[in-house]
Amino acid sequence: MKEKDILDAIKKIVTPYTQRKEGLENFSKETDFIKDLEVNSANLVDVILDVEDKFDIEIDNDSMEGMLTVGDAKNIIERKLASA
Amino acid sequence: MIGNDIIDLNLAFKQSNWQRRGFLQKIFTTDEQDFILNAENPELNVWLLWSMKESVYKAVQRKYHLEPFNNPKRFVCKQVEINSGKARGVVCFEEDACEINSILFSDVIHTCTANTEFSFISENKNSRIRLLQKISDQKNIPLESLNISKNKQGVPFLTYRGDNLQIPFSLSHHGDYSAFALSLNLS
Repeated sequence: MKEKDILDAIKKIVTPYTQRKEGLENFSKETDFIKDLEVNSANLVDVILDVEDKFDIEIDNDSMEGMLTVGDAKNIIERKLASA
Repeated sequence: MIGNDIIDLNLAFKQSNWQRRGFLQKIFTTDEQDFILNAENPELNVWLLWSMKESVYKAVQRKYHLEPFNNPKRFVCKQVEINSGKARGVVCFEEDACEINSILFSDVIHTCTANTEFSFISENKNSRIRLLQKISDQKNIPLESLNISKNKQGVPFLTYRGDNLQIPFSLSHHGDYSAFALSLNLS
């Protein structure tokens, strides 16, 4: 799967939980879910569950712990897809 | 170690579906899940335990200068008791066992670490200015010389004419509500 496809999928997943919509305008690997998009911390769990469903992977709590930016999420998805 | 968390229950019910497959398992230990599912009002208990974990997350992040992280299961709620609109318990994080207190209203939960000296709940977003006012009154410092900045981990700190006052506090907001917890006798 291409990096761009993964980033597009993450953007689509996170959009409904984004409280600061202007944060989506310069969506990049550096985008921080809480600081830039103001996703509330409970919805961060939904983001992770949606990522699991979309990519058919399981994100354990240790991986989830460092999933704070779009780039973190992308790296975890790529790692899990490679080991699947 | 100071932390607090406020939850606008009407908004939480709208924003999250706690019954979604996997949701409880990502956040709560099996003991906590049993506690929630055996409660008279499971949804209320989801948010009560969540607010306890969040409060202690903020407290340890401040105390140990931790980078932000997302792993609610590392905060384990124990001995949670609910009694006539109040709740108390202990949240363990590694070596720390932190006592916490919650107040439950029909549409809002406010949780603070037990060493909180002053707390405040508002139906507006004015807790920040109320916190500064409280410190100004207690410390006899002019309000306009007080400011809140954030360190590189995103933890807020209080300054007086630019100097860090080393006063532990915690601000929280959700939906229409905001709150603070503060202690002036801790460093």
